[in-house]
Amino acid sequence: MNFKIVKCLIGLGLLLLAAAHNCPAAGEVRFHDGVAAYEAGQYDTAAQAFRDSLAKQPASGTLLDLGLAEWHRGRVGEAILSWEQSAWLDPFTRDTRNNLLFAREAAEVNPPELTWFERASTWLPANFWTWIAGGSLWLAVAMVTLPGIFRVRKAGWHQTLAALAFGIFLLSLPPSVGIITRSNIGIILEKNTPLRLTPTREAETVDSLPAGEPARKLRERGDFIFVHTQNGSGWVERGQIGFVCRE
Amino acid sequence: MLILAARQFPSACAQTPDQMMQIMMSQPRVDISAPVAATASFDPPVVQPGEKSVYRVTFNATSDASAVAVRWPEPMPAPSPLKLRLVASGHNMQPAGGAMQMFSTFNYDAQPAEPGTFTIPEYTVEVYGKPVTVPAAQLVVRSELPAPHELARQLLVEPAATNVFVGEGFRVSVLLPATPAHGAEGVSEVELKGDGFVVQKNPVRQSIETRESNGGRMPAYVYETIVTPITAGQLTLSAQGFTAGMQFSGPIVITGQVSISGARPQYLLLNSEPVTINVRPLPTESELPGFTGAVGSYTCAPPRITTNTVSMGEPVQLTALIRGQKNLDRINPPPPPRVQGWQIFPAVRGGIVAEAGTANQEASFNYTLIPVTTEVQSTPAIPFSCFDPVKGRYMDLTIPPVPVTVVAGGMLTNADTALMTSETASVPEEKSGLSQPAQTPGKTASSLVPLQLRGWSPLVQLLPALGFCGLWFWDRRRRFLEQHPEIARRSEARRALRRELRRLELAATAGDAAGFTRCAIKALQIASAPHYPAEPQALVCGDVLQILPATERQGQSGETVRRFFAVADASAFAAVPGTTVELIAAKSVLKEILLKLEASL
Repeated sequence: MNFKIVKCLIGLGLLLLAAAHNCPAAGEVRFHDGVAAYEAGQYDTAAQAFRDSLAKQPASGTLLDLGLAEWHRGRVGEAILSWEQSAWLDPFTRDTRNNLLFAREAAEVNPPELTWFERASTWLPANFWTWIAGGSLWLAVAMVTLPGIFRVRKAGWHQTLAALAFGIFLLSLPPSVGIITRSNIGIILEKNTPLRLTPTREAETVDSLPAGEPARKLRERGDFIFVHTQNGSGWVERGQIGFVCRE
Repeated sequence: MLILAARQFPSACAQTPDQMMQIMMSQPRVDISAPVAATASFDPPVVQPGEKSVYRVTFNATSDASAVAVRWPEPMPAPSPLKLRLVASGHNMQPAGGAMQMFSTFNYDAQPAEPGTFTIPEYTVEVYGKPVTVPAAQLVVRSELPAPHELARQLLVEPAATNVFVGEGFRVSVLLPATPAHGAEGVSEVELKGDGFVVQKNPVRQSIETRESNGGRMPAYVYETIVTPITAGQLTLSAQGFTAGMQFSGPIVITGQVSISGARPQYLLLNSEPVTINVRPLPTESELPGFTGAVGSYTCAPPRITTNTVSMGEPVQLTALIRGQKNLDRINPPPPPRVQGWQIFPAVRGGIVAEAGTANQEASFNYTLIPVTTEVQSTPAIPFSCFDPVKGRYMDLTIPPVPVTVVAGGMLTNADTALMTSETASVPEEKSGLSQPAQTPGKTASSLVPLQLRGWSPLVQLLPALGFCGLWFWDRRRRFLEQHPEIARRSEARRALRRELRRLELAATAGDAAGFTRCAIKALQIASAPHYPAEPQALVCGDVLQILPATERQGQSGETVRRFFAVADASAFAAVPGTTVELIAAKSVLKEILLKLEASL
């Protein structure tokens, strides 16, 4: 009896798996809608479709296309932010890097100023560093402890592998920290965004930031975020800045 | 060729306050006390049907030729076949009785279609709120007029181009041809009118030259300037001005044999027919970086820098040179780029100079750059582009980088600098555009938030630690049991005893006396085996009795154990097996013995 129930459950699971594989997800449908609208020149529609798709599941290609649509809509800040997010997920895509270079050259804004460990963190997708750090650490621990626990004679390759894994763990720590600090980098979304002296709307404007200008979040207060930019530090309204790592 | 410079007033900025006062005092008085009076006439007063005549109304002592100053009757009191259309209005200053007086003039076009005499009667208009009477004027339209007869005088507008791009400046000539009745004369207060144009006042050129007119060559006054359209579409451009006789408001070039009347000028307001200019918008899709609105054929000369060796934090001047033939004064310098390692101030115009040996001019823009690090090896490229209307596309005029050496402290020698700069060749920047859209969603993620910042991430990272802890405890327990095997044996005996007790209960319930006896014997052996230690099957009745206390060994418990073993031995070895049915009745005693044995494990 129990065996029959298990068989039914397994069959039902396989059926659902096959169905899920054959019918595309809602996010993918909206992605293809967006591509069609983009190729027809309907950039507003395309941008909305890409946003719908991203709401279902963030994807690097969708973010790349959203950036293109936003660029054609004249929203430089949104475009640069989308491409930064695409590079965050998949730094190996050359189109994303080229688009960022082109956009920053055209909009005359600088890329974010990254520290050495933040620059190292851009070599791989953001989450890879965490898995590498965790995996290498526990591999090293396993190579040291498991032979003793399982009463296997310790071999030279055990120690070599442990040393190698521990080295990888040490090397992956700075990029992992860089990922955390990079998550505080935001992109100014609106043109001539005022950089205020104090976190109030009536505050004195220290500088005006162009759309696409990178800014690093230092702290928050109410609807204002204290940021450091290449032009100085000050407060910007929360809605005028978008972060690469959306919460 | 004769060049006249007429009425050249001294430059105000070069005078002291006293001299300025002298100049002001020497100017003729402006009469503002005379009563406002109006004159009206048709020019010419006699025309053929279909020809144009200008109904011209002039007010003295007014300086505002607008509907605010003069309120006209609605409709104009003109005879019904005569349609009047306001085409121009302007004001100027004329000498009157030893003083200067302001005059405002209004031109109405009249183009009668049939012969007759049309009289506009005397009527009243409001000038600055006061009634002023406009005298009657008469226009005679005759079917036949002796040839040649005088036509209405008007200005001609000749644009150098009628199909231009937004921002593309083009030359416009305003002509006043001489007529048999009116010789060559100048035009003052020339105005080019039209929405969407910016008229440049500086490059004005005046001349009197011979032009083709009505099949013959006649001298004509020519006023040339540059007009720049600032909006796209079909735009109309017209001109107006006052005849000024031989009074010219600036230098004039007179070419050929021209007779200029020395009579007093009449100061008539003339206007032109509008011309249509097709202004095309600039393409936006191919706009290059650094486009500041420059439209024309320009080139970028190699930039100049004041020094190639500069200390960190000290300013250095970079002069960018843009060459072209016209409109150089209207070029906005490209904004300074934001680059790491440099602080760059917006450009300052350095003036326009003629390029030696060519018709080109050269505009210079001076940038002040301050290196903020010693790591930079060249000035940044400054993106700049223009739209070439001839080629119909944007041209890249990016100001190239100039090699520099930034030192932290003392300056290098020129020889050192020359050696270093010769080794650093400027690398052209790679140009790129936007990519094509991705056709697949690409790599996906559940969230853009990095794993480190998600709440469950530390737990996932700790799972292997929990696994390793479990393994460690398991290994420790295993090692402990290896040193204390009795614990394992007793534990195993307890588990086996519980299993046998369950079977014992089942056998008793089923009335299986033989099975009950077997289970009882096995349970007794299991419960006793750890005490020796020995294999349970190797124990006999005496071994089990040894485990029991001495008092119980001789009592009911010992008797019960003996009975079970005796029946079991008989069933195993005797020819006639003993009965086992009554043993089930001793279940409670047996269980009591087994519980005591279990407690001793």
